[in-house]
Amino acid sequence: MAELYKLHEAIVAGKLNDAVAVTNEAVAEGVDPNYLVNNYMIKAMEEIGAKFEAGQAYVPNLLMAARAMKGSLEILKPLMQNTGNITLGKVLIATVKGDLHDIGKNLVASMLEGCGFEVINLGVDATDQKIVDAVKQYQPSILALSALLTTTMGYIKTVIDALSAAGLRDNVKIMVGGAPVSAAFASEVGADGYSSNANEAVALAKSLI
Amino acid sequence: MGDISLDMSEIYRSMGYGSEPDPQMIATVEALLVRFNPITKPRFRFIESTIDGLSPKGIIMKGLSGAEKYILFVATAGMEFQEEINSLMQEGDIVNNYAADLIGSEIAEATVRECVKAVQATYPSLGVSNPYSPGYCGWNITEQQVIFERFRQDNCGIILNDSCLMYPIKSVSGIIAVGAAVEKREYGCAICGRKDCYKNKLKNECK
Repeated sequence: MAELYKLHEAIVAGKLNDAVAVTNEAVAEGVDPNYLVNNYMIKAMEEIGAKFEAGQAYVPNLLMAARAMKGSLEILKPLMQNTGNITLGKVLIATVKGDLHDIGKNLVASMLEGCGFEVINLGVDATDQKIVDAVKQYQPSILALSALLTTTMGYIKTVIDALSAAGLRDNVKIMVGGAPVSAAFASEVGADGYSSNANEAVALAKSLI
Repeated sequence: MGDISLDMSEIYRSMGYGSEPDPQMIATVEALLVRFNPITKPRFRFIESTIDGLSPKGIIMKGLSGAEKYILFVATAGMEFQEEINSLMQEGDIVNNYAADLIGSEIAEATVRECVKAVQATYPSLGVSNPYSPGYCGWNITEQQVIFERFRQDNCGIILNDSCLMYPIKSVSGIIAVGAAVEKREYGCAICGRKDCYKNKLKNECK
C-alpha cells in the first residue's frame, strides 16, 4: 500500500523521482487524485513556502519542490478532468517588450504551477498587442508582467494602458515583478500588486483571485 | 572554458546558500558544468579611451579616482554558451534553467576578472581599479551605447539592443581606471546601498 506521507516528504525535499513513484503507486491503488492534491501535495508546497519565508529554505529548494509537484500533477491531471475546477485560477505571464530575461519569470511561473495555478507563459519580449490579444484569448484571472531593466520597466505601463484602451483592464488583475520594480512602481503604473520573489508571487496571486 | 576560473562559492551564494549548499544543487551544477565546459568560449576585449560621454556616479567615480588612463571593456560568456542555454530552456527543467543562469553569470564575472588581469599585465607598473559597469551603483545603463560605439564592430560578438540589453545575455561592459595612484577600493554591494538592486536584496536575504 502506498505510503502517502512519502509524497508530502518527497515534494518538500524536492525529490521528483520519489514523488512520481509514490503518485503512480497511489493511482494504481485507486486513491482519489483530489485527496492526494489537497491533503499531501498542496500542503507540501505550503510547508516549503513557509520554510522559505522563515529563511530555512532557498530559491532552489522552492524550485525543486515545484518540479516534484509538477511531476505528480502531470500524472494526476488527466484523472481529474471530470472532477470540477482543478486549478486555483489562470495566470498569463510575460516579460515585456525589449527585455529578454526569462529566468525570473519562469521561476514565478513554476511556483504558480506547483501551487495549483494554470499558467500560460507568453515568453519574453512581449508587445502590448501580443499581451492584449492573449488576454482576450485566454481570459486569465491574473496577468503577471516582468521587467529586469530600468529601460524596459516603463513598458509595463504601456501594457496596462493598452489593456485599458481595449476595455480589458477590469477583467484581469495585474501583478508585476523584476529587479528594478517595486511596490511603489506597481502602484504608480496602476498594477494590482508587486512581489519581490517567486514565493511571494504565489501568495499575491492567491490574494488577488 | 579556457583559462577562466569559476568561483563556485559565488554560484551557491547567489542561490542563497551559505557554507552548505543542497547536495541536489551541487549535483545539478556539476552536471551542467560537464555540459557547458566543452562548448563555452568566453572572451573579452579592452581598449584605452577617454571618459567623454560617460558619466558614472559618485561612488564609481571614487573607485576610478587617480586615473591616468581609462580602459573600456566588453566581456561575454559567448554565443556558444547562449545557444546552449537556449537549448536547455527548451528542455523545460526549471531547476536546471535556474542553475544554468547563475553559472552563466559567474562565467561572465570570471571573464571580467581575466580581463582585469590582462589590463594589469598591460600596465604592470600602474595601479588598476576594479571594473565598473553601467546599470550598477546608479550609473545609467543607457551609457552602454557609448561604450559599444567605441568598440565599433569588434566587440566580441555582443549585440546591444534598444533597451541596452546585451546579447548573449551573460555579457558585461564597463570601465577600469589605470594610474599610479589608482587602487582597488571597497567594491560591489559594500559601497552601494540601493534598495532597488537585486544584489542588495540578495545580500540581506543570504545569511
